[in-house]
Amino acid sequence: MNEFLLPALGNIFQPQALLVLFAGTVAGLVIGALPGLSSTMGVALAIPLTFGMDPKMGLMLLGAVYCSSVYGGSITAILLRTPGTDASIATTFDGFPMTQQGLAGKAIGMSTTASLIGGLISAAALLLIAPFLARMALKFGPSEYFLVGLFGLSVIISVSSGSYLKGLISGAFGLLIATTGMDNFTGYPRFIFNNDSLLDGIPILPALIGLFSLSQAIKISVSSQKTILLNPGDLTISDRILPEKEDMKRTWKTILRSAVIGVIIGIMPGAGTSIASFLSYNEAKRTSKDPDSFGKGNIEGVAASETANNAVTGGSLIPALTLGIPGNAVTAVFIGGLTIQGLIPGPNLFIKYGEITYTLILSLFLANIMFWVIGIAFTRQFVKIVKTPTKILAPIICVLSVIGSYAIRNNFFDVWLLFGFGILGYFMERYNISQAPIVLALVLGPMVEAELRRTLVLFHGSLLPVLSRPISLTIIILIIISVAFPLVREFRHKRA
Amino acid sequence: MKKSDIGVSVVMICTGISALVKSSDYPEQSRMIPYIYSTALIAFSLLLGLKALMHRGENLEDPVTKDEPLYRVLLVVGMILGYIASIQVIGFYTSTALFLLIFMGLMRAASLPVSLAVSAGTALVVYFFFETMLNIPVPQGMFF
Repeated sequence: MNEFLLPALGNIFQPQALLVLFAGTVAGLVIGALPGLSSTMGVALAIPLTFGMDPKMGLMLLGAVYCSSVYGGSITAILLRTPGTDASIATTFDGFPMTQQGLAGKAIGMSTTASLIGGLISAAALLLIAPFLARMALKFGPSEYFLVGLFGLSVIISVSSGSYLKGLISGAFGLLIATTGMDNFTGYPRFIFNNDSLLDGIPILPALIGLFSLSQAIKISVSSQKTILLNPGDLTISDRILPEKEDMKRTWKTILRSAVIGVIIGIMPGAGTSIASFLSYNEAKRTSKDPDSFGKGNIEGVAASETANNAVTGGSLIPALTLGIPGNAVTAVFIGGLTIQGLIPGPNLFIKYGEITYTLILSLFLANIMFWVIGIAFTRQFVKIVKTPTKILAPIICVLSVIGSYAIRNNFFDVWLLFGFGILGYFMERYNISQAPIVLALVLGPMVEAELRRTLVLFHGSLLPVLSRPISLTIIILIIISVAFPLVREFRHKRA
Repeated sequence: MKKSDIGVSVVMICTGISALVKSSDYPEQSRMIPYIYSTALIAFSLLLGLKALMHRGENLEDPVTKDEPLYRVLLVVGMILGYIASIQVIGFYTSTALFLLIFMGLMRAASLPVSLAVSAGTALVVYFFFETMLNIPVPQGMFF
């Protein structure tokens, strides 16, 4: 390993490399912040630019776009409750209430720093323990993935505090619509109503943009609020955008825990940034001394979600680089970028092409630092958006939602889906039903169904053998804790 | 009793029953999961409805705010619907500029020059970013 580290270190500090990293970081930030433009799309769009580049530069560009686009989603999630990517849904829960209270600068400062720490820890995991972690991930079978999906769904209980029943209804409805499309096991189309656009299922991004962005645009259009702030005089853009010592003291455990969750989830094929951020949010709430303040502007909620989603970046590259297994869509595209450069993922990547691989890994550290610098430097400018009158902001959000939904597949049907989910999201909020369980169900539903059915095939129609698997048993215990904890807390609350 | 809870319960029970009926046509393997989810949806919705009915003596306030009157919601939703429907006919840029102008005009959001500037600016930014930089073709409509 050492023989490649020094040349790799030299590579990333070349002026051309720094320029490529800067361009990739800025492009990723913009792509991440725009609703509908995902990290996958960002990396895919950057691939053609790498054709004529030196492999090291090309891969650095892809890495920078990947890292910064995951962070970029948090900016609009915090300021406008419009998550740029599904990775930032959980960030809206506390980030947007902080904005409404005039603390947008503080929220972005925390999200930027938490993203940096998450990104650095995941890059360190990739650098130091990649082969070991990849071997661990291979021990996960269908039953473990099914249980991981269930663990993710257990977050529904946590995000529905106040009305568990409505959260469960929202989740069950989401799971039901997640079964739309062709059944991968039998090839039978379900709930598609003769519409071919639904054969691949409900696309997540138009649904997400509708539920969170368009519904928010409708809400601020019809309310008498002049700006997003509850009290327009509240906007605080303190001199210090960086999180204060007190905030870091309060959140450091959450940040470290979320980084570990993010790296582990990142390694698992099929799981993704949104699952990591939801699980970390859930854990932060479960272990907090003041869980009731979550969802009302608790800075720990922002820290948990943002650390975890950026910690996924390095984690997801572990199986991609060491085994050639893409953990998610972005890394699948990333592997495409590698092969275009003539590099085949696997052990050879670390031996034969060690200099290129370690240049990429080290550049991830630099890319994370770069988005942190840019994020902190421009926070004051970002925050000014919330001063814009809502009646001007709302139609612009509508336009961006429409173009963002259309751009995903160049399919106008997705715009109609956006519209449907926008209305659904608005009325859900109006009647106090959380939208988060639907999104969770849409993300996890297909994985849960596929892995459950695989497990049933594997164990001849029985789920009992799952209990004899140590990893499965551990996840089952985690699920029980995750479901029971908020219920017990609420029971105690009521008794008190 | 929350009237909205009763409404949510009824709508979701109907949705669950429709899904159950629809999925009964599917092959056995394909209908298993929709059956489970529909049943869960019906069960949870029934519980919500029953809970609301059991508290009918109590006059629980609905969360629906008076700050958001339904006629304004319908007006905004109507404008968005008109905008989306017009995109395929008159093209993305024309409908976007018109939508922004009409929306800001009806909502008395800004003066005409500001509304014009915002409309043109937004359309330009979208053109520059999506069409020029990202090569994403948008519906052109009959004018282009």
